[in-house]
Amino acid sequence: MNSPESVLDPAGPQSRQIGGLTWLFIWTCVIVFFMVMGTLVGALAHRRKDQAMGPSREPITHPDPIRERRLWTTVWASIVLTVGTLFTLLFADLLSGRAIHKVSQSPDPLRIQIIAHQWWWEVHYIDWPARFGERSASNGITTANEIHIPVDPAHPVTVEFELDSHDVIHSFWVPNLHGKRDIIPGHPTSLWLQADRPGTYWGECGEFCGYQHAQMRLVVVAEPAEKFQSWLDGQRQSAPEPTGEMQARGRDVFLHASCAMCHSIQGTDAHASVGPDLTHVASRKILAAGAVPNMPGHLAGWIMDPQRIKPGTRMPQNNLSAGDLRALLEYIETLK
Amino acid sequence: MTLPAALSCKREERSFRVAPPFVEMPEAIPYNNRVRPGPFATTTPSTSQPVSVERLSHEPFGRQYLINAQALSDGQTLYGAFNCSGCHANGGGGMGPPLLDNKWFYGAEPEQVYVSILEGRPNGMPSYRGRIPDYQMWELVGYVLSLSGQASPNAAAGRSEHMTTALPPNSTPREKPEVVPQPTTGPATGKTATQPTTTSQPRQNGQ
Repeated sequence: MNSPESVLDPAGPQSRQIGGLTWLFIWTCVIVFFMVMGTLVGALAHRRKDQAMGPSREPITHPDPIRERRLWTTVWASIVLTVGTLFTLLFADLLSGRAIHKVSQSPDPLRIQIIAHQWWWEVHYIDWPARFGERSASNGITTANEIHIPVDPAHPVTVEFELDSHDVIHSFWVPNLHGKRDIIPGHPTSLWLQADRPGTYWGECGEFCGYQHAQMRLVVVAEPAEKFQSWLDGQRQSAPEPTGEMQARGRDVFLHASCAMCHSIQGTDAHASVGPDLTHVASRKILAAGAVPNMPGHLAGWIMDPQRIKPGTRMPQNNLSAGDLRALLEYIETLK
Repeated sequence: MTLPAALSCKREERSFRVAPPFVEMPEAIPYNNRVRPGPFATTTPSTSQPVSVERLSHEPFGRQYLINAQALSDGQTLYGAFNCSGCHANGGGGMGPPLLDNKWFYGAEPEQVYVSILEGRPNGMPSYRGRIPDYQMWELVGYVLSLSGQASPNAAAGRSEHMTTALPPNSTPREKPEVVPQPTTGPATGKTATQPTTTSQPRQNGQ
């Protein structure tokens, strides 16, 4: 992961606008803070020394036209400054909003549908610009927790996310690329973004959604157009046939144990859509929506005892024999 | 006040890591390996040792899931996820028998429902042994029983998951009226005559 997950490290035009706005607000607040504190310190340091007390312990005031005029000038100047600052911020906010809206308009976007689940992200590529290959209703791809998007300075590709949830309220947030977008079940929404710097960016659920909310992460891989092309072509393939005896046994385990009740592997009989699609699971960087990196050891632990790694996850414990587990792992490792 | 509060503490108690199944499954029983409708594999008395319901009912296992709101709700999720609704619909039945009513071919004890899921039943109910982890089967049992009100009312859901009503008239989006050509008079020839068709059908399996 080569970029810190931060709003202040923008990697796209939308997040750059938001980052600029953030800095404007921060510096405005810093200046206002020091002005207020300076005034307070000044007021403490320059106390009135001529407060002679009358018999009723009321300060004796001497009308002083010059002081009076200076006082009113200060009051008006403060009001004008405050209102002016607030309007400047409001105006900057409007300008940023317009700029984000403008940069988001694209006639030929990469369209990705995201369905948020407790606690993972289902990702469907439903459409892409024509230069990335022919598209039809049936050749979209399905993956989970990992989104690849192209970076092409010559022809920036806008990514349109169509967001929906099938259980509770989630929020889609990749801080380096855009702001949050809440996902409310039954109210599909969308978010447009662009990346203009290759990199791997973490994203996460930004709205508390249950026990494993903190382990509901995703990875956005922004890569040059050629690499994206080869990734896309790879993902459109079905799973390879098992080549050895072990791999064949592994596929049998997958299809005849409880795996196939929830997961699908394109090219086999497993077509359930309860859990993530595993057709290319070995090509992904993370398991369990970012709970552990995708390595054979972690995968074995995840299959046998997911409740240890991510308590509360929907994936049940599986009691596989050692041989079955080894065969299954060997098969899953081929699902590049 | 304190008493219901204390009782409701246990209502959604959940343990994420389940113990290995209490009930050891005799491996000798042949069973339908693939999930497909069909009669239960024929067994000879010498190899078949059906899981004894009597023994199962002595385990504190099934009841535990009937009084746990979390288990019932998980069972509902699994009922949809594992496509029980494919045959039993939302309890009203279809290809499979209804689950909402009071008729039970194989008994309404949790253990009997459990064995139905585990071993399958003749005329189409597949065996899910080895397919569905044991504790999830018990969660399904809880949900199936809750469909006919057998689960503890303290644990069963207080309202259904789905919206059951259409939008009220004052929230219905305003349609833009459109004038369409009148239906041609004469004998209805199917394609040309646009007759209003009624979409409401009498309720099947009305409970």
